[in-house]
Amino acid sequence: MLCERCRQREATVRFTEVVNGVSSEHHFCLACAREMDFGPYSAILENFPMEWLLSGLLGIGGGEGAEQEEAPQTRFEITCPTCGTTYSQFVKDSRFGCADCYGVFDLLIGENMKHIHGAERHTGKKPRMRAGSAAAKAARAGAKETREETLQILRSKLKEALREEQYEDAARLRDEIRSLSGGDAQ
Amino acid sequence: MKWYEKANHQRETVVASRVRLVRNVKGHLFPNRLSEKERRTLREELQGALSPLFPEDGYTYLQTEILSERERRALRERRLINSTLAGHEDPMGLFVSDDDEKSILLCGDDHLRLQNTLPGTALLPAWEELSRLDDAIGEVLPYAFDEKYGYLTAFPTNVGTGLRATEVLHLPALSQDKSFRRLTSEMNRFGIMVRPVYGEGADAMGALYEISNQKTLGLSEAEIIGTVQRMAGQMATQENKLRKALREKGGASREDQAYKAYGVLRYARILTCKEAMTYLSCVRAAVADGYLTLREPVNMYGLMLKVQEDALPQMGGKTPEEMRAILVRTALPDLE
Ligand SMILES: [Zn+2]
Ligand SMILES: [Zn+2]
Repeated sequence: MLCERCRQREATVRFTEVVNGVSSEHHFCLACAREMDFGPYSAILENFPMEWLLSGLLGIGGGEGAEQEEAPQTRFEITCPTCGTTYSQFVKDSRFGCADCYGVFDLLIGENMKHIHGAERHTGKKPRMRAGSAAAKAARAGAKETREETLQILRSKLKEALREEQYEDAARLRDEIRSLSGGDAQ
Repeated sequence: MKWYEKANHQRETVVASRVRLVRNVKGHLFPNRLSEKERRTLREELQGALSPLFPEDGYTYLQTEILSERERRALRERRLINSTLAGHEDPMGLFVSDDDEKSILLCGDDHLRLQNTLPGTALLPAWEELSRLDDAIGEVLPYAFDEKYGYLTAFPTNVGTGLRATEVLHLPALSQDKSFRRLTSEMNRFGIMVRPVYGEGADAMGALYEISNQKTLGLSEAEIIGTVQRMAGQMATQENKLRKALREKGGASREDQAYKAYGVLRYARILTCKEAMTYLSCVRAAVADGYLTLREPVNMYGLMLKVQEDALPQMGGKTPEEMRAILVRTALPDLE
């Protein structure tokens, strides 16, 4: 799912708000979530102190005490888009669901890694894939599409949207194409 | 023949050296996130890709879900799967070399778990062999690897090198000494774990201990191997010092203990696991210290593996305790 604010990046933060008994769910990318105002949660997103996370402040059903009074029934959840593992699940099981989890939870697990290993960076051996080996081919086939390929897909989607007179979609696609092709800002 | 069945006159405190690598393959969720069907499909895919590396003459391939619970626990006794996985019926695959030295577990906690065990102090050669195997597998399957976190694993405690280096030590004197606890916590400070191979804490059976690295990220493989070897070496030196002091103190008590232990193993008709482990440990130390001389070489560690509840052969009309006694008294050679 794309972030509902920037519509560019994968949404990894789920924000549930309950106002007058009506619950609404929003999905943002980490970058947008950090720029938005979530009252007391903004500070958390800023720094991600490990103790707060472990206390369940960002987790489903967590937060008894002061925090809950300040922002009643408001919940955050960070989810890996590839495997669906949520951050609170990870905290509960100490186990990732896929290789992408490391990227998604990167900011959250740094302290934890330091605590477990006394280090944050790998210094050992690396895979030595010979070009042309079966592994290299398989890796290439599974790799994410390049920016050029993404642009091509977006352009054809834009054409289709214009043909179908879906102008709202077209405008969004045009913005996406513009930001993706507009230099290396992304 | 398995490496621990080969008869030897091993007297060293270091019984065995083991290295284990955890690896995952790009583009697949980790096994616990897969449905049973997906897990089977992935296992077949991995087996297909790896089978040229593990030919039938030299390796056996097993599918764990068709094994009984007891058979799976026996695999755990051979240290080929861990105890959590032994309790599961999830489909896993296992390549194991005929000598039980090398094994590759497919779809356990991670996609791949490679292991190599050698007798005695041999961490470095064990690692070099395993690293070559790792490279060969890396040519066929693209590993999930990240520049920052290294090899990506299901548990954050394995990430980075994915390497666990272990030395198995026989510490009958040191584990009884008051310095043992202090030494163990000192090791912890260097990121080294000391754990009994059988049993827990004070109930440790057979005085066998595993010394292994706790940290896998931020250290090179050579550093990990070096630290474990150095720390295990220190423990072995302490053990040998204590044993030498006991020998020099003289008296008939230790000699008497050794003969009593041998006598029980040789003549008992019923042996509990704890009894067998205690006396085998005592005889192993007595042979190393020169109190007992066996007419033929025997692999005492191998015997300790075989008297475990789930490793025992089953025979109609015989209880496990009776089977254990038969097994031990037939395997134990005469005294000089
Ligand atoms: Zn966004
Ligand atoms: Zn994931």
